[in-house]
Amino acid sequence: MIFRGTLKGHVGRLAYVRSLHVGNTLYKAQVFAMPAMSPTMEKGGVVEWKFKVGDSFSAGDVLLEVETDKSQIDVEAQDDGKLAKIVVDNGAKDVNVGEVIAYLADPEDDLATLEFPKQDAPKQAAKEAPKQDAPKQEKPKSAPKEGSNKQTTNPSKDVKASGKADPSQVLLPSVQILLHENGISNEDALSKIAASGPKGRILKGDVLSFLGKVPQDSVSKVTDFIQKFEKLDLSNIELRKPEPKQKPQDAGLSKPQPVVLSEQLHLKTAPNVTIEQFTNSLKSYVNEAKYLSHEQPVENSFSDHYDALFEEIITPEPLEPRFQVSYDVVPLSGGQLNGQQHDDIFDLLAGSSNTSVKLQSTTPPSNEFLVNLNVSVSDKFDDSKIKAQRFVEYIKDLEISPEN
Amino acid sequence: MLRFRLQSGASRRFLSQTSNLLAAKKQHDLVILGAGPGGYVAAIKAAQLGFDVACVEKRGRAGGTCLNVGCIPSKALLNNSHLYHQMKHDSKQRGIDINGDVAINMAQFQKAKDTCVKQLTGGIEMLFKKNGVTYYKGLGSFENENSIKVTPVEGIEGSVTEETILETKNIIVATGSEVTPFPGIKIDEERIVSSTGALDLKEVPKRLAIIGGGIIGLEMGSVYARLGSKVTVLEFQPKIGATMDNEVATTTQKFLKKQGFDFKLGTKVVSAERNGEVVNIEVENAKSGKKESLEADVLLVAVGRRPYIQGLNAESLGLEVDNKGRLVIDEHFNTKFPHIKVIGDVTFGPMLAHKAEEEGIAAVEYLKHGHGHVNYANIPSVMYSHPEVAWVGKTEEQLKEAGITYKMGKFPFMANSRAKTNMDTEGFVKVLIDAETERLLGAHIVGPNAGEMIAEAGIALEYGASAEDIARVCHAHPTLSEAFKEANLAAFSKSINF
Repeated sequence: MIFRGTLKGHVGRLAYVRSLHVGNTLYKAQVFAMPAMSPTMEKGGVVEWKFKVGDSFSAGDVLLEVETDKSQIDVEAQDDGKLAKIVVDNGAKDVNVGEVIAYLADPEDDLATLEFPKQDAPKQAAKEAPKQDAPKQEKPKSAPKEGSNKQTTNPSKDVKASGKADPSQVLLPSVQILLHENGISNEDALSKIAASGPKGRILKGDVLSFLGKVPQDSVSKVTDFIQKFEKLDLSNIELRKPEPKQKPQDAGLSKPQPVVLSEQLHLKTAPNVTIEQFTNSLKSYVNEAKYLSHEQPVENSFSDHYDALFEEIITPEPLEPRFQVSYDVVPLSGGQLNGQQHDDIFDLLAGSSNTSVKLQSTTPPSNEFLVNLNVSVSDKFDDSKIKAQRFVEYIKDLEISPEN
Repeated sequence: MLRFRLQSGASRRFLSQTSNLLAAKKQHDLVILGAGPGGYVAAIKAAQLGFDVACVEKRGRAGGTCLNVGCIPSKALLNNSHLYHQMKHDSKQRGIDINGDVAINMAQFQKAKDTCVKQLTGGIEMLFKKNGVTYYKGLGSFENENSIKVTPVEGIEGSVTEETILETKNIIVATGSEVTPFPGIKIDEERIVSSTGALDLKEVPKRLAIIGGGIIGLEMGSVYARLGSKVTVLEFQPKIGATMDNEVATTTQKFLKKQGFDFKLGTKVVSAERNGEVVNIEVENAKSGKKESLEADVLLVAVGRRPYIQGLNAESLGLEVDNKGRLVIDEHFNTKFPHIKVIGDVTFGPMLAHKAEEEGIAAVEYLKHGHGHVNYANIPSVMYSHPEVAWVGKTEEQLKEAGITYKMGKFPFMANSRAKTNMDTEGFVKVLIDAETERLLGAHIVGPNAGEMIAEAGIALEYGASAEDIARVCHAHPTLSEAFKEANLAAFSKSINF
């Protein structure tokens, strides 16, 4: 029966993976130990068992929720089974990884006749742990006694200098030769020589140190040195200083400055337009734009949720102006003409007027005007800025219209 | 008419408002910001592990800096300029007479590079399709801690057409880095260029000045030196090659000098200004303060790269940034939110594509299994000059500083049969091992194909091999890699062929 954690927060996966030997475990309850949900997890808490004793579960069901110092993680069953006995109840904290927390059985097992195994293997793991230099790194390794090739290959487990040699390793050529030269059998080497290499690999230095050919501490010194750089150096992080916040200070010192939106438009009109004509038609356009930008609702009137009546009710003082407009017009090239009375600014800009314009003097054929627009936004209403911006957008349409 | 115009303007605005309200929403398990080497690798790995994964890229073309304006295009230019240089200057002694002119066709030279880039970036999109990664072209930014807003970017092919909200359980930020500007120098990518502009010069500059003697500067310098530019490197430090072993750096400087490089080390650039078609550069000696004026046709500013988080809106979530602009992470790549991870150039560690790739895989594995693996002590660096320079592990200086007693084994390519037959014998292999345990601590190679050979050192480091272990592995003859074997032999015993 294999169990595996799935991630809910950010970590998952049981490092403690056991495989089931059908022969000798039939009718025998399976030990279920506190899983290591992350390589650094030493202890965990049982938040909640999702099944009661006697309940059957299927592969994929969440058996229990485990709490680590980082997060809460669901532990899923990968095979069908039955919860035979709960050893560690809901709410328990600081349970060592590898400690028995429950017994599981096959779905068809009868709980009354079920035999509970002795807790040797996992207990031993828990006992051994504190003796080692780095219990958290070593623990998952010591849990399963047999079938070491079943162990998860997590390199960060091997962080501490020397440890037990991986008995299934192929010896490095340098190691093999040294052993041979000194009459040490491979079996002896694997059981006696402490391994400083990754994943319990015996290195040349380990053998040299075992033989007393190099000082004992030379292995730990170089191993420590190498391992120091295996992880990203995240010490001494200097955080960027937060941007000095000036706004609140300013607010304390003086009244908020009124918002003024400024826009400069460079408008090229049709030939032969007087400044009066231009100013007049611009004025009517500005008024029109002012009216429309106040009139149109802030909300999207095309939305299904739009209700004109509701909008009217919630708009405060709809008749109050949201902004004040001031502008001045600077002619860039002179055209001193008198023309027709009713001009549309767009006709002036686009030159699409079909009314004839009478030429009175020899003037440059093209007129250009600079319009400096200032919109001071009222701070009384929430929608002032939106409406003022909308107004500016309208005015800016003037600039792009001739090209359209 | 007036009214009509106004209304058309108004409805235009409302249309955009409508699309805002109805912004498309998509659900994913994992959203990765950035399709550079870190991001795209993470995306594919995540898809393979069963995540419903989306990758967001504002450049449009996948591959990030590396593929578009970094490692890949520069290697195309380096290789082709090397071929040209060999034909022009090296063919005669090899018995190849070229009847006719060997000349550079700059347009085709650049086009060849662009073709490679295009094929490779397209290849990533194909891999996305194959693995079922959803690819969004657009600007990704944090809407909140569980959703990413993708905004259309004008001018890129296949951009999302409307603002799209991606709701997701996990996020990996892999937004990479950008060129660090030099204070006071305005890059116009024409006469004053960054590495990006240097990859795209329309003609070979007569005089190329480079600020920064790091890998980027020296590689681009190599390209144009081969094509005939007079290259001047301005470096503030008294040595080139950034984190290179000192001996290797000195050797590198020597062979580049032979190739026509001019080095001004310990030199501070005061100002640089474009005047018409030339760039005027003011420098001063960092020690003596002696001033000097230089003139160049193109100035390359290559003083490094800095993390890129512009437009990410990371500040709205309160993601921590350090004083170098890096997003702060813990050892599992987590920000203060365990479901938001950061990898690659935008966070800590060396700014290298292969480092970002490893982190991308590891970050996804952390999400899936709760553990991942990157060995930061074993990240190789390669400079693709000719000969190449490559190293992994510790330098002599680092070992001295840490008080580690070490032994060194060196083997020159002059004594390597393959290098000899190739008539390409510049450089050496140098390995550093612990004096007592003989464990390999670092390998430094200057020589032909050093970049390929360094992989062997990486494997050895990863498995804790001693020099003897490497020397006892059978290496094919005649190959350049025998030099690596011999250097290891030399480190703990004696080399055979030298």
